[in-house]
Amino acid sequence: MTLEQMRHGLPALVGGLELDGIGHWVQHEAADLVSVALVKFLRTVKPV
Amino acid sequence: MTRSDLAARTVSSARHRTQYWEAGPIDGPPMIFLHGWPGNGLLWHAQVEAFASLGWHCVAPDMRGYAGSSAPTTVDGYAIQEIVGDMVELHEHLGAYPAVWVGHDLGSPVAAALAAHHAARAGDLNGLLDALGVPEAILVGHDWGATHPTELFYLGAG
Repeated sequence: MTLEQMRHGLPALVGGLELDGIGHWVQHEAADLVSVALVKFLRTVKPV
Repeated sequence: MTRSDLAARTVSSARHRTQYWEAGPIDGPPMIFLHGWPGNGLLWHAQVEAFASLGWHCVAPDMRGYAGSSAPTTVDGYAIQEIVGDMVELHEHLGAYPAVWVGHDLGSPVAAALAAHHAARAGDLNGLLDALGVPEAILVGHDWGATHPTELFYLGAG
C-alpha cells in the first residue's frame, strides 16, 4: 500500500517516511530516525 | 539516577493491572507509547529515553497479555475497547493530563480509538505544552509488516 492509497482511508494523514531495509519494529531498528520523525510530526501539527 | 532512566511501575484496578515503564519529569507533558503485537513497553526505550531527556513525561505500558500486565484468558478480553479501557485507567492514574499518544502496530488503533472516543485525553495541550513549544496532537505510527519490502512509517493527526 502506498502513502497515496492510505490517504483515502486516513484523510488526516500528514505524512510518511519509508525506510529501506528496516523491519517491523521500526522504532527499535531505526530508533533515531523514528524519534526525529516524531519531532518533525509534532512541529508540523503545531509549529513552534 | 538521571531523569531518562526507566522505572517499572504498575497501576491496578478491579478489572486489570498494567505495568508501565516511565522516565522523565512527572510534571512534564505526557507522551505515551503503545506497542503492538507482539512486544512490550521496552520496545520504545530509545524514544522514551530521548524524549524524557527533553522534558517529556514518557510512559510505555506493557499492553494487556504481555510482560508485567494482566493476561486475560478469553479472546473477548483483547477487544480494542478493553485495551482502550486499560489506557484510560493508566491515563487517569498518571493525572489525566492531555497526552501525545504514539502507537505502533496494534497500538495504533488503540491510539486512534483514544482520539476518537476520549478526545480530552489527547486533545487541547495548549498552556500545558506551550512553554515547551510542543503541540496538541494524537500521533499514530504503524508499518506494514515484515512481508513488505519497504517499511512505511506514517504519522496521522487525529
